[in-house]
Amino acid sequence: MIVGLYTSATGKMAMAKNLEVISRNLANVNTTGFKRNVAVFRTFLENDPSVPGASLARVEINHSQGSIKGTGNKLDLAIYGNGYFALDTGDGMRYSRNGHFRLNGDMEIVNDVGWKLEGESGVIKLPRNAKDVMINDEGAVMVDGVRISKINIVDFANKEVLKEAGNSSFRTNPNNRVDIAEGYVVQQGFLETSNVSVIDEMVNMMSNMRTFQANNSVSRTINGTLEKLIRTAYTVI
Amino acid sequence: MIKSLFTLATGMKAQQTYLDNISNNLANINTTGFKRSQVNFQDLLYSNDTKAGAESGAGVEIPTGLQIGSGVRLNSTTKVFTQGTAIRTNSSFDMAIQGDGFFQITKSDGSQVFTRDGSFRLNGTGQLVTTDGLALTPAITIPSDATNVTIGTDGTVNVTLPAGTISNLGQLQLVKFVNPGGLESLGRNLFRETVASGSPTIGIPGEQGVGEIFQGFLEGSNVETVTELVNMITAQRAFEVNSRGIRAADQMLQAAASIVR
Repeated sequence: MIVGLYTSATGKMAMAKNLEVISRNLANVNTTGFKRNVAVFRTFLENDPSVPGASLARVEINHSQGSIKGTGNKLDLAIYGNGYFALDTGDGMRYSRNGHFRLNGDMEIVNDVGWKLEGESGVIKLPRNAKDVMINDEGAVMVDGVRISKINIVDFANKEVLKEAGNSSFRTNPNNRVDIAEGYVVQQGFLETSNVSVIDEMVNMMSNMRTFQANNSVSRTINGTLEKLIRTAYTVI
Repeated sequence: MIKSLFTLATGMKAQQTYLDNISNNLANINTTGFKRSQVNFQDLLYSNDTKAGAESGAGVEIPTGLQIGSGVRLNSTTKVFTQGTAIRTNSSFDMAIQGDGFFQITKSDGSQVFTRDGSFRLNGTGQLVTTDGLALTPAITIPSDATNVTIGTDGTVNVTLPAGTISNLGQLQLVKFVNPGGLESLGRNLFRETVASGSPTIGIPGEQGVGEIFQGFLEGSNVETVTELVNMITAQRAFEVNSRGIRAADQMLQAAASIVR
């Protein structure tokens, strides 16, 4: 009977972990470029079916396209299709779908935390007297009608290698191959919002809560039975 | 009961996507040459708990089976190619197609795209281009000293030169597709051919089912406000009804989970 107690406890812990993932997704409903997480569960020990229960196998990142919203800012970029912006942090590369950029003191295109946007020939730097910046579908950067660079939109054959690195960005092992993306369109003046579906998260949360309650009922039942057993044994003696 | 939660969630998401489509149609009410999209729903797979016609005993067949569906999905959107209203602009290079057919445009990388948006302008060298600067194919170049440009309903382009002579610059061509609904929408009022749309067949305006060209007019969008608003109300109510269903399913689950206190 005590095994049942531990099994229902693993069920409750799994639901608690799921709730953490759901809360994080819901908290980031309005975060630009956020990709929702999905918790994947498995039976407790796959190669030992005698130990029952559930556990969190891994948290996957769902890289589907988020909706695009228009902002009108010249340095707000959204990617339609596959691909990520490549950002140079000075301490390694990060990859992100968050296209909200600005210019720093050296006229380089940087994101909110100062990571530099990488182009075909390194960091993209605009001339001092630049009046108008136009970025076309392929990511080519035109300043006052003159093409100065092209944004590197990169992709990965296996998106599993991307790990979250904060600020809506991902990092990967430097040994992993980084390809130039194909079939993408860059839209200037737009941002990609998060791909969190509120309906899905709410429904998951409901199902989660009821499963937790059911597991809790199991715990209580076992607890009650154990109590009766101990009491009966006590009165016998 | 958890199944009904996810089934109703598919319903809510489908209505949300339906509303996304309606919003796109409404947003493009004033877009030249825009064709409205229509969505098609499909029910999802059914669980085959009991097959209809299965034998329940010796020679006794069950008349109906037991099948519970899993929800709905949006399986396709179709562009509806009905004629839009003609808007008079009196601009020499604005053209509206009355009937079937598309203008053929060549992009800067040489690929061919197609459009119903006939708002053309002259570029620096006098060539007819779209408002994005993409060239109309076959290319027509208006001489800089032309005083008047006339485009006939069959697409012939005639210019009046200062000496009073009339010069024929050629004839515009339109392109037809076996299945225009299969064209890929690229945005910017442009379409691209796909395997589903069939190859473009070039035609003379006015002949063999190809539409005629009217100079000085633009084709407005074919979005019908009333239809879209009615669809919007349907989508909203369906969404509400699905969310009520989710609430009911959740309450039933709660009752089930609290049987043992």
